[in-house]
Amino acid sequence: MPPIKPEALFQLAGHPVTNSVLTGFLIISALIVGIVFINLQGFSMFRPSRLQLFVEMIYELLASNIKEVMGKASINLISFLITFFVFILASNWFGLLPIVPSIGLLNTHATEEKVSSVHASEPDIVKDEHTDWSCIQKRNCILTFKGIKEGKIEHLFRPPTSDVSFTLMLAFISVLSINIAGVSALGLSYFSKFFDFSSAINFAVGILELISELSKLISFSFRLFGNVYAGEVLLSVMTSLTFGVATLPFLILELFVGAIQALVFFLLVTVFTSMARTPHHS
Amino acid sequence: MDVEAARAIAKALAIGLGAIGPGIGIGILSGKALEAIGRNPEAEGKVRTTMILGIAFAEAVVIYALVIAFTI
Repeated sequence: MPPIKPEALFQLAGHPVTNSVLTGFLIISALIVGIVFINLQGFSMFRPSRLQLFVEMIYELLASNIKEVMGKASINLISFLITFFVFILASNWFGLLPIVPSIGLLNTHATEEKVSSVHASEPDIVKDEHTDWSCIQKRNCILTFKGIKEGKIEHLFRPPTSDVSFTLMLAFISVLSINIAGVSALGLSYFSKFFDFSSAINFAVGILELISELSKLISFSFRLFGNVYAGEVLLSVMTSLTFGVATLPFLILELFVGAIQALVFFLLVTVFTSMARTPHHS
Repeated sequence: MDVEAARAIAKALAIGLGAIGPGIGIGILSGKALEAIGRNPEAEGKVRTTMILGIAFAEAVVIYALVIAFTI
């Protein structure tokens, strides 16, 4: 079962780099390389290639949603919102690749209440030539380059959205961008939504609006984290229960859930941005 | 009752009770969406998008309970 806290792989300038940070970096680089490649292919109005049609299909589906909710939106806002969708979708679907639960480092000194150290654990030193098969009863067997060993595996790749600190940062950026979009559309009178001194009940409503901003933060982060992490745990438990045979339905479920969660994050940020940009009734 | 037994019961209760409400809510929501689509098949796209949004809100409450069940 993958741990909630991602393991640190190595140190970089005094800060631990966890496996979800590494994977996030890989996904971002892959997306940038893909976008540069798509741009280099060129676009044509009269003879579009299939790649161009695919990209335009994604853009149409998402931008039509945005325009329907928001009326009119600048291309900067559309690009910003589509980035959320593409990145979260890529990160959720990355967790389904077979390299994710299998590649890692062996940790033979792990206990259930392990205090996670910031240094990667050393690979096991072979003490004798015979494999110790008692690891099967404890369900602790790990296949390494040196044979079957007993211990826990520290994964090398984990989808970044399964890391609660990453989704918390995504939620923080979303809430910040919603408020900034409100200020850019309405000016400083946007803050009269929160601090309304015209009457006592409007003051209470303003306080409730502040609390609802906080609740957006929590709900964004925990919805995404919970879905992706629960999917990881479900896949690992189903694999260990059925010895890898009957995991196909759960992989399909995770495909579906990952896409839905990316869509929902995107739709919610769109809806809240449009709500922040409409003038507040007084 | 020792701590481990109480912890196991707490985990089970957290996710068990936490999944009742949203389960019923999602069922009601999908039923109403199906009714709306049946009544007006042209508006299927809008109805479906709003239904998925509503289901995500209801699902989020179960996810909070699931996170508590994992971290207890």
